[in-house]
Amino acid sequence: MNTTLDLEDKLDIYQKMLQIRASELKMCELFKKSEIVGHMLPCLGQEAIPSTLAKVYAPDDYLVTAHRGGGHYMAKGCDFNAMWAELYGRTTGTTKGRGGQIHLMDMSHFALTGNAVVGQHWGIATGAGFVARKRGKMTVAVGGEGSTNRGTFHESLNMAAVQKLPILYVVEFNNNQMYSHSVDTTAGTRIATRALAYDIPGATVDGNAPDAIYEKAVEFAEHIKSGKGPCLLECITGKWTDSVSNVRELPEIVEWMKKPENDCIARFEVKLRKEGILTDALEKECKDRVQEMLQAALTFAQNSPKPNPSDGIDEVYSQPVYA
Amino acid sequence: MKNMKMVDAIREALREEMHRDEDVFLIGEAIGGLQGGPFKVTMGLEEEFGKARVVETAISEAVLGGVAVGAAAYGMRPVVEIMFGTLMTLVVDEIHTQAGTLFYTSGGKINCPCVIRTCNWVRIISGPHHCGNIDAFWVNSPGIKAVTPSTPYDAKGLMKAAIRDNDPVIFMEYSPLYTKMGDVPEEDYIIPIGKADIKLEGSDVTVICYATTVGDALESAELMAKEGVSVEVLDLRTIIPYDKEAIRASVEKTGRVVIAYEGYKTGGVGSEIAAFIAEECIDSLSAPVVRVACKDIPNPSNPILIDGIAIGKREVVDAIRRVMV
Repeated sequence: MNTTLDLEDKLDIYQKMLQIRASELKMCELFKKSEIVGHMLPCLGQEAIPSTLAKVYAPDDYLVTAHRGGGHYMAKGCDFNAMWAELYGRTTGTTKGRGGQIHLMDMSHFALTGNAVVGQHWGIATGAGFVARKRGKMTVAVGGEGSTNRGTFHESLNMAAVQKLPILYVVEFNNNQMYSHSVDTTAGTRIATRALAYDIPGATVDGNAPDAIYEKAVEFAEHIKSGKGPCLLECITGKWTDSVSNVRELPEIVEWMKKPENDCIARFEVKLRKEGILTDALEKECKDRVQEMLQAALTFAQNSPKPNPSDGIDEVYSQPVYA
Repeated sequence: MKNMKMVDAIREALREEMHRDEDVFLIGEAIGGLQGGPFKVTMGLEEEFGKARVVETAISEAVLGGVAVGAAAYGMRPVVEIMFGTLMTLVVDEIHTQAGTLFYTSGGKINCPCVIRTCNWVRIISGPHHCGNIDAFWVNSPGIKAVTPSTPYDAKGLMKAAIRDNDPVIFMEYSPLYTKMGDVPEEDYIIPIGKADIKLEGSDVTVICYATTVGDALESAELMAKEGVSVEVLDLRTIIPYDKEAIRASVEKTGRVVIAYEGYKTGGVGSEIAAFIAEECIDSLSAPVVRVACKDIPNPSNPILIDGIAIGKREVVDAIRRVMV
């Protein structure tokens, strides 16, 4: 088992992190200008987790996330143009402009990367785990620590452990449940210790460090794929914002962001430079590529048609009914 | 044809569908073993299909609902058992908010082919937590289909239709009907979801009913025939999407309607049917529509008190007499 990232992996992860960062920042900017509307939950600050997990799961493994699924949607390789069309509410959007940012999903990539009821996705992921068990795949379930106090989290771990379902449960510990601090809402210092209750492997890693995430996630994926049942991986990170409307406004987050070691991208750049992987030229190339992708996606979205009010009324049921 | 109990017809449908499609699996509390749940619906299936396809779980309704959605979205056909109809409140989010919205919200791209089975009855002497009726909830839940058979034949055909359907279907069983006998064909068949059935043709009054009230309606019809009143019994079979054309045709024929349903009266399944008739069939009516339903009172754990809220043949007969005046 190789638990270290090779050069190509690292650059892929770096590229993904940049894409997610740029896209989410643009989303916030356009929301503030009222150019796009709706409920949007950026994953700014947490980019290392989706970008690294994409190196752990296979393209046809299942990915189920909750709030803040945009990064996971992008990292899994789902259609970036369609995501932006979705943010613009256009018919070419990934859900034809119906679900919006918090309901991003693309089953052609086995990705249910949006769910607006905090914690409900744990049970849905557990259901996906039954399919994964039958089809010889793995399900990766991701949610914030705020969702781990729901009964669905505990019910899911219990059922997955009993059934030995191939599920990697990943907790993005970002320390904030909306505007509440974890310490005020959550018993126990670490979510990963909850794995003990269900007799499954659990671990806490630095969620802002791709190497640390990868090392443990690969080990757990091997455990899972060998039929030994689920694992619980807690990734310590921090989010810049709760929703698009309050980026960089919460005082403690502003303070937190001032420390470069808390920015997963800045940290990774330093590391890649030390390792001689990243140069000025390469950094520029990666960032230019992201801007090109983003510009293309924006153009696609802005030029896409808006829905008619009556669109979709025939898509409540998937098959015609007698009545 | 073979004569069998409804419980055996449902089990036969489950077994045949599991043989037909290996992606069909059962999951629920205490459904395994030789017992097969409190009503023996899944009796013996674990032995036949193994623990991976008859999954016995903890008391974990929320995740059972989640499993229905997740397994269905990723391509299997889960059949989930929620032991009692009142416990369906524990999976309202998973069914109403998640399963019912998935196809539309995914832009018509992700199906959610799950079946959620549950069991009702107003006369279970078990108090309001085990015994109550929220059938009407699903009528107000876009994207959800809900069926509720009254005969072994309908039960088997509707279960097969529900499992093969690409949308979430709630399959409501009523415990007193499990032992009801009826003829069931030897060959494979389905009863289309959304199609009502005229259980008895008549010309003076239509009794619209489903599940347990079908029996009440048929007995009432027999009694009323002696008084020279011809009763038509329309079994909805599917409460959502309900069969508007069948209702319209029957109302046009008889001009009088009684709606009998075991749920609470206010805002019940029959309230929706009455509203539909008022909106679209008012010109055919020669008498006001009458609803026969349980009183809006939490279910007591006492048979004497249950008599005070439940309905039966007597209430249906009274209602028929009212609309015949």
